Amino acid sequence: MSLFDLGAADLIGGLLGLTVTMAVFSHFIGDNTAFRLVLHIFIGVAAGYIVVVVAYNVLWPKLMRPVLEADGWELLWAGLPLFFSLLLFSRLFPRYSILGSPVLAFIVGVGAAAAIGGAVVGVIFPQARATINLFDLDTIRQNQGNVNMALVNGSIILVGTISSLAYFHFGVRKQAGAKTQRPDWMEWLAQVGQGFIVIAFGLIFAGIYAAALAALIERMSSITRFIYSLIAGF
Amino acid sequence: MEIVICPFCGKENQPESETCRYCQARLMPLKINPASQPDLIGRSPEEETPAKLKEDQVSESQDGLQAAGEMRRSGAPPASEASDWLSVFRNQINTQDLSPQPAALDDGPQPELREIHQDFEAGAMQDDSSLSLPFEDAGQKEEGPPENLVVGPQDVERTGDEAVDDLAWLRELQSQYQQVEGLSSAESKKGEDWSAANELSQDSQKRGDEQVPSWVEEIYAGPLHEEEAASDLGLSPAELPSWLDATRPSGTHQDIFGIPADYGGQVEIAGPLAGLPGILPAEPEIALGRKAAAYPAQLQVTETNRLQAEIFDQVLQSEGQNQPNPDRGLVTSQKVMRMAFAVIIIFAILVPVFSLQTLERYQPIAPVAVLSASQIISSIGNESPVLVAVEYEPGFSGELDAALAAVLDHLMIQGAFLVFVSSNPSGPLQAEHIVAVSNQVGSHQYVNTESQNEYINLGFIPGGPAGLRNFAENPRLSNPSDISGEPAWQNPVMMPIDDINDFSLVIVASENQDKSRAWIEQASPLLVNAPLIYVVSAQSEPLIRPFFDASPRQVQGIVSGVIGSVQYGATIGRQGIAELYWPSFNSGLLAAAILIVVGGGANALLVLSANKNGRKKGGN
Repeated sequence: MSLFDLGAADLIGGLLGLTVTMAVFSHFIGDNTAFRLVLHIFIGVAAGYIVVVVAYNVLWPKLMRPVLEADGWELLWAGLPLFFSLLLFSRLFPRYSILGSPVLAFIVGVGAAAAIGGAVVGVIFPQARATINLFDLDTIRQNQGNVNMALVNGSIILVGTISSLAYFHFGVRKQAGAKTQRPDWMEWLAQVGQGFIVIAFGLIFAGIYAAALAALIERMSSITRFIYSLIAGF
Repeated sequence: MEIVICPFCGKENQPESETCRYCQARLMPLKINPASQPDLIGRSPEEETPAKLKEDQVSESQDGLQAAGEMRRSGAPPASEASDWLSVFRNQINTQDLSPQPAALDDGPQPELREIHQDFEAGAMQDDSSLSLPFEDAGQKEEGPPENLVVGPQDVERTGDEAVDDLAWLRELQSQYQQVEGLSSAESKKGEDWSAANELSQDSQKRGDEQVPSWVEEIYAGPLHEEEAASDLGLSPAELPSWLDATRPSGTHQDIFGIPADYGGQVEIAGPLAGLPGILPAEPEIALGRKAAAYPAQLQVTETNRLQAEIFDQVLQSEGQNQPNPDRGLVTSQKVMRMAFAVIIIFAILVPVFSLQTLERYQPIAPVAVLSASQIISSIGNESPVLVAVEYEPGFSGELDAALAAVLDHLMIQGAFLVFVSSNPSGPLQAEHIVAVSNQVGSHQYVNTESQNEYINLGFIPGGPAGLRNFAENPRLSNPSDISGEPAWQNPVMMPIDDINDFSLVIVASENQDKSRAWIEQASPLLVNAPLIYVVSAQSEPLIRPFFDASPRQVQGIVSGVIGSVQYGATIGRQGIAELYWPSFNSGLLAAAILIVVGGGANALLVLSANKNGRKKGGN
């Protein structure tokens, strides 16, 4: 792709991308005006875009249009969300904030119920069952795996799970005249769990570096291609 | 505004009010002008003063109290008018013969009377006015005499004779002195000023002190004249019992109640006590309103507490103030090191770009998670609805665009009908972007027009986890229209879909572990037939992996970052965007690994060197 193949939008977009990218990169020599300017532009653009999306995807099709298109008793049903939404604005005025409290309580309650119910049904129970099934010989044979290796793998996972949980156990029974600390076996188990946690954090750090490196490569590749196209045009 | 509070009912009154308007209690001390109300009060004490003074002077000259230097208290009623019984008693005494009758003492030995008489002779008793004080102060004015003072004339005669004999020499000495001074008789003192007599008595006391024996010094100097006064008045002085003397107030009632000195002459003008002088005031100092005491506003704290409070106040005030950036040098070791690392990594990234290395030299081996995802997508038939949740931020598009484009490329090859949705406000735009990127990867061109509808973008899902649950249970109700506002569920492919399980496949692309877990929590329990595949960033893969390794699996496939994208492309024999990044990605990882190893080694050397130097210093 040469310069002549680029449209005006591509050219402007490419130059803008190059400028903004270099402004962000300039932060590695220290905080400066160019970096802060670009940062403010990003925040403003993102906020404006979110407002447009919410208004166009939520407020209009789910809140306003049903009210405008409803007739008779449907209007009452369709107007309830709008009415409750307007009550939320009373939170802006302390004198009338109590009007919005029931609506806010409903929102928080539904959100908490969904989050807790999903965590229990979707994560805790399945993961507990999966940990138990690591030692299910029938399941291992069904998966045509090596039973011994599967048991070793399951044992490591079980020890890692229990010891990691033990690391976050800080309950201590107070005894008169004795130093307040966890029992020795709990300390030992917590040390093992700390090793597993360190490995997990190292893995996450490597993933973060890989993600950042991918973003950097994408930007460098984009800039390189744009510069190539500019050079090829002359 | 100043007010007066009634001491009886506690209500407020005007400051000029003399009586309470609620309970009519007196609020102001009583002060009247006798001339203005002569009928009401009769004679004022001032009018009575000349006559009374005359009587007092007579009595004082008789009892010789001037010699003791005692003064009669103003306002106190004279002893002569205090009680009638006392006058009768005095007359009886005067009629008695004070000649010695020793036999009488022997005949009727009454110890109490003898003691009283001896005390009388010894001058221990005070004058009549002082005698009356205990009864007045205690409010015990009685009409009749005390029992111990009711004696018969015979008894007084006998006891008086014995005392006269004992003090005869002293009386003689006194008479000689009075003759020398020209004051031999009591009548000669009547018209004189009592102050002159007082001085005279003091002089006589001084001279007496020089002449009388030592035991006489303990005796009150007045008895010499009291004897004559007692004989004139017919009253023998008595000594107060010790228990009664102990109850006697040390001061006058004016001192005790704080009454002004000139108040004794005031006469009550209202109430049942109207016309009586010397009435106690109605607690004027309580009734009068006063200003509240002015207490210092400064907190009484120690100097240390004050300094600590000032420091705390400064800390709080500094929170709202902009602090200047610390003056750092333009070039610091940390900044140099940071820039050096950046240059190394950027150099490692750019070298493969300019060297144009190809993917064939680094053919990856696909793991089980990627193979499983590839196999599932390979089984997707034409026009099968596939739900793609685009949940990553634009900042991670460099990584996730590459990974998701490889998967979407495979889906487009399979001819799947793509349905995009997102619980992130920027997700719908990211979905449009990734479709465009995927179209660049292969020869297929997915478009969403009226004539050609190969994918649909349902847009934003509001409500967080609750919104996801709602969409999973009833996607028609949650997102009835697409991002352009057109009805989304009239497409023939979309019509049979009632819940999330009716999709042929669900793909979640996210860099956020919370967003990824939310889809597992809310959607996976409803997914019975439809598999769930995750396209995630490398940073969140460790947190999704347990759901894939679980038995049974909650996630059926994982494509993670650039590496997963390259591995996925290898499984289907295609090269996507990730292949362009792969050489630079490997170089960057290698450079980072080298920097970590070199940095760790250098740090270890510095620690060892520091320990060695520490041991040397400790040894020296």
